[in-house]
Amino acid sequence: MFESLLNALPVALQFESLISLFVGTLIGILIGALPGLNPVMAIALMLPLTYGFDPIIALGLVAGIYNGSMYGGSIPAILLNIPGTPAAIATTFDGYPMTRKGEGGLALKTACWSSAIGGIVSALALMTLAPMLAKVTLAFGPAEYFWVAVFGLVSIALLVGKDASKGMLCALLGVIIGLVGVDTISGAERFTFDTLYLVGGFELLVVLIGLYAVPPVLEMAEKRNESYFNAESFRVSPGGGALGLLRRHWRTWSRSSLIGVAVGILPGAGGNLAALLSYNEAKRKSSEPESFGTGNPVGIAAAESGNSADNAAAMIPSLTLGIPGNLIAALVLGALMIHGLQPGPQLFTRAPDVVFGFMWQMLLTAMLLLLLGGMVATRLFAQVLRMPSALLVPTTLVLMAVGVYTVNGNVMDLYVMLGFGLLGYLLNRLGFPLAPVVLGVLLGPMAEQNFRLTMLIAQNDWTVLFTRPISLGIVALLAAVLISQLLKTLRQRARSAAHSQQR
Amino acid sequence: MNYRDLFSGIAFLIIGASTVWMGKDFFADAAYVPIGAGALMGAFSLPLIWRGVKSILAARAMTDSTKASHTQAHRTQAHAIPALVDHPARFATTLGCCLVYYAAMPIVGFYTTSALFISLLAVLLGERRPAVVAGITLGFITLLYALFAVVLKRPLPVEFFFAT
Amino acid sequence: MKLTLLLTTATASALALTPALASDYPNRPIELIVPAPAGGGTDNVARMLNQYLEAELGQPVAVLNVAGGGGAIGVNQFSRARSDGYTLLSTWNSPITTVPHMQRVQYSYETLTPITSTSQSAYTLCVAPDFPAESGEEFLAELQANPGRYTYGNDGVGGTMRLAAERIFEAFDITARPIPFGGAGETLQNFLGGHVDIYGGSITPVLPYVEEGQAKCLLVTSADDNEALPQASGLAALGHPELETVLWRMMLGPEGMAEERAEAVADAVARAVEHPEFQAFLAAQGETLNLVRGEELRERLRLETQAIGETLESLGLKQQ
Repeated sequence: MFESLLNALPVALQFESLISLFVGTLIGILIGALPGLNPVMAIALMLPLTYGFDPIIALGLVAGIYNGSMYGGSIPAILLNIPGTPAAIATTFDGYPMTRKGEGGLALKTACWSSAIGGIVSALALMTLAPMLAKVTLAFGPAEYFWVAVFGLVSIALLVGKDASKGMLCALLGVIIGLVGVDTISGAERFTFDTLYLVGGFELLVVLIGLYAVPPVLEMAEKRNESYFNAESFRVSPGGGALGLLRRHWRTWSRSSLIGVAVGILPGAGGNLAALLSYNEAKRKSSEPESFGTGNPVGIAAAESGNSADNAAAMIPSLTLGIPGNLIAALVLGALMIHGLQPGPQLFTRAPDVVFGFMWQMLLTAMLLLLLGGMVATRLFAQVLRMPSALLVPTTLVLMAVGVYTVNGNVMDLYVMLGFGLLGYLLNRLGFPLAPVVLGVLLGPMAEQNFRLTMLIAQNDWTVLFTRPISLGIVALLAAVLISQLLKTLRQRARSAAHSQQR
Repeated sequence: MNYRDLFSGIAFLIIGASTVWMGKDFFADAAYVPIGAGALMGAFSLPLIWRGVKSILAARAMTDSTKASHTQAHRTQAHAIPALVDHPARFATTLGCCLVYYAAMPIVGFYTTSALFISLLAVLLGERRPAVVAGITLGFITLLYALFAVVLKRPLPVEFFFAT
Repeated sequence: MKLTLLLTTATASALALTPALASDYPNRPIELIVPAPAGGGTDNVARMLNQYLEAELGQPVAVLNVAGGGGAIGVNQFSRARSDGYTLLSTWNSPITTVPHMQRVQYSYETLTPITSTSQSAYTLCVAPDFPAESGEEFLAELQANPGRYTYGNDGVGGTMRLAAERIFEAFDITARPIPFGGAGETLQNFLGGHVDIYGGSITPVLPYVEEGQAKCLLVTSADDNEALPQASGLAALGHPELETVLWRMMLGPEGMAEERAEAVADAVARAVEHPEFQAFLAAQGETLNLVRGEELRERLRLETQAIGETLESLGLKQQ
């Protein structure tokens, strides 16, 4: 296998491949940076243009757009609090506060390096461990998926901050929002109030842009003349070179990259889950968890390396098993089929140059991010913030409108986005955290569907949730996290009690 | 005095209760999660309501009594709570413009409506330099057109003067 | 105000003039709604065909994926589009003939304008190599002997795959437990991981595993046998050709689309499918060409809708 890997390197390094990587990465960053324009759409549009060429050129474009967009999504998340892609949601938590504090340049730089590192680790995992990790993918049935979702949901307890009941209420609100629409298991409609629009449920991107991006725009409109951003943010180049970043973040990077790869090999879980889990872990491990959410660069490092590490790993089940891990992987499979390459276990032996060449391309494009990412972000996008805010408000609103409209081509989505915007604004002002809402929307349906599938398969014997080895492993991990957190809280409480007694 | 906890608690209690009420009619296993989530939501809204009631009662008691130090503490706390809407006029203007924008877009066409929306809202929010408004609007719309119509060929609502 | 009035009149008169200008059609880009996610089987075939269709129509055709609700979301949205021929639908049969029995929808085979069908393929049922059956007959006998013991993964409640299987199971007096997954990929993952006993879904994803000996496909849901799966029996071989339920693809227009325009698109499709590259692609997917146009297509949709309605009713799956 390693021989084929080495043989494929020259394929990935040939001139046409490098050009397609370069162009792809550039397009990817731009696409990711514009909310609503997603990499799936871009790849679907670009692929037909490459059918006449060698498959490695098409795959180079895919690799570039894929990795580029994952970083690109962080740019508006940091500058405007708009998640450019759903996976960038956790990047807004600390990225936007940093921009408002005047540290936007550092935030973008951290995001760029973190994305690149995550992408590189993920590509290396794809190159060396793919067949082994594919076995893990198959071992995960509905019961295991259920526990992964529960693991994510329980970590809400760590995200909520001081007010646990408010956090739980928000998470439950998210779960209820996620329930709307046709239930995929029974085929019955739930909470659709007899409107056809609700039959399909709420589109994730519409909910996210509404909840996260509309409230800051409304606030900006209210404050138009007062300075909303620290204009000096991008003039001074952030201190501390790459080595400084490495010294500061290497723990976060390695932890988050591992989480990203682990989530990536599970088809259907996705980069947003990887980013949120990484963020939680970073916060939990931190010595100053209360600084998360107020502009701590570690939060960005965790989120961005987590979601980028999902990328190449998500290709593992699709290349080795023919089971697409996400929509982009599905498009790659489609492209391979159009070139006459049948996805599945034989792909590695029948077209080693294509498969291994693609793996190299995933690695190269992650490295290209370092070259292109910082340049594009700071030179181009950061200038947006210099616009007078009376113009920044309407242009941002147009950008969100076009982004939301192009998802489904439905005007109704725009009103729904505005509705969620008002909800987000209100929750913000009433002191409710928004992150648990998002987790609820994302993980609620995943937990529910997989729980019910497990029960269907096991004929309502709930003991299967605990008797399978992997399930048991996740449950044990979950218990360990909860107990350690509980002990930490108790210790803190005891300390502060002692403290007040002394006074 | 702070009624917010009380009112938001009651709002969540209502959402939770109606979720359970609607969920109980769902078929078998489709009902588990709606009922569970609704019930939990009701349960978690109770501490919030309790806290709201307590703070209101405490504030009442405070105004009756004359414990100066406590009143002081409470007053500073009351000041820390941000207003629900900072500037109602601009808030409403932005929302209103958005609604008109969304309503007009499918009829008038995407690019025309967007150009009008940007310039109008910019002026309403207090930008008074015509050259700046016109320049940025034009530049931005050209950029969008180049990206969506020329490069990506994404269908957006067609301009009324092109529709056949 | 006057200007608006003038413009409205101008637009209205332009609209009134359009039928006369039908020969111009198409003179601007066309939007093609695909009611399935990007990268799925329906999407792949639609995009592949699209390449050649663009050349034949002389205008770009932009694919818009509107997934969800077993395809109903996309078709609902499509049914509200203008019927000027600049919004078309590329779909498989399930959203038109099956889903309306299970969900409230805004369309039916009666309202949409039939243009042409394009290709079709069968579904297959596969089991692990150690399953105690080597042929379609033995497979059905094993299921008959063990009612309720085996689980089969399928594409979901509103999906044609489940219906195809249930029709066969009903005729052979079989009870197997359906497990609804999100699509063939998810079903395959759970089948290979041993989480369900039987794979039910389209042929293409499982083919490599048949070659590897990790799966044996014993049944196809078409009347005829399938060349790609020699071990599988067609329904005619089992004595029930009338139970055939296949997956087929078509292009439709919104209600009230002008006939000349529908004809123009159908002609373009007929020319586009002639490209050898497209035919090679279809063959690799295990699909065969199948062109039925206009009112004949509506009749095919009508018959299938009725047959499926009856099956659903006897299975107790019909929602309304």
